[in-house]
Amino acid sequence: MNTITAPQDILILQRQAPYGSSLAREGLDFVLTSAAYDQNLSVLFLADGVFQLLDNQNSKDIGLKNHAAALEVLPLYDVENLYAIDEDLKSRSITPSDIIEGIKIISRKQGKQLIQQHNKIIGF
Amino acid sequence: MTLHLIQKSPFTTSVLQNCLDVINEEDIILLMQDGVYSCQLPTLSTIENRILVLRDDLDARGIQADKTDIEIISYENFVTFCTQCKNIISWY
Repeated sequence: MNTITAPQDILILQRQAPYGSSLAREGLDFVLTSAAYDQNLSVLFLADGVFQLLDNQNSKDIGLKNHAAALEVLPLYDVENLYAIDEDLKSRSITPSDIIEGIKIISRKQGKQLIQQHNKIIGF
Repeated sequence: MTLHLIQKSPFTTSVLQNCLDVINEEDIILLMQDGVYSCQLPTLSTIENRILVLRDDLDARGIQADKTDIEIISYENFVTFCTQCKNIISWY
């Protein structure tokens, strides 16, 4: 008989800028894979991870997949809890109009609460 | 309670500051690998969280953790802290 495991809330921390290393992409792959297994996911973009959200990325000439385009399909996988820390956006001169749609901007204090509330956290 | 593993030097990366930005007051910081160089940071004593440092990594690099507010721990202690904390976040 199969055992049924209730979906558990997982928080993924995206801390790295895209392209310079493979970590941002690996984090995204983790999100997509987990979503395929019906896990309840939230993603928090912080520190240089907020650079992943810029909406005018065009990575064709460096031979890598467009990271922002991949992030934009997450709601299709029912991953809708996407958060970015306001202070980290501001300190990198990123305004809300610079980033892709569907990102909830929260304060650092709310980010702390998000981390505190989760039992499973995976950082990239 | 979350255990934060600081694994890079604060002099070459901002991982320690990134961690401090989102840390909760009951959380514990463990300095390991190149994170043990954080012991050389003059401002380390201003951190209000409990700070641990892994002895093996400290000794390997010849770093002294003589500030009284830093606890030097063994790998066995490290395992115990891992089991006691709800979450572990690696900062690398």
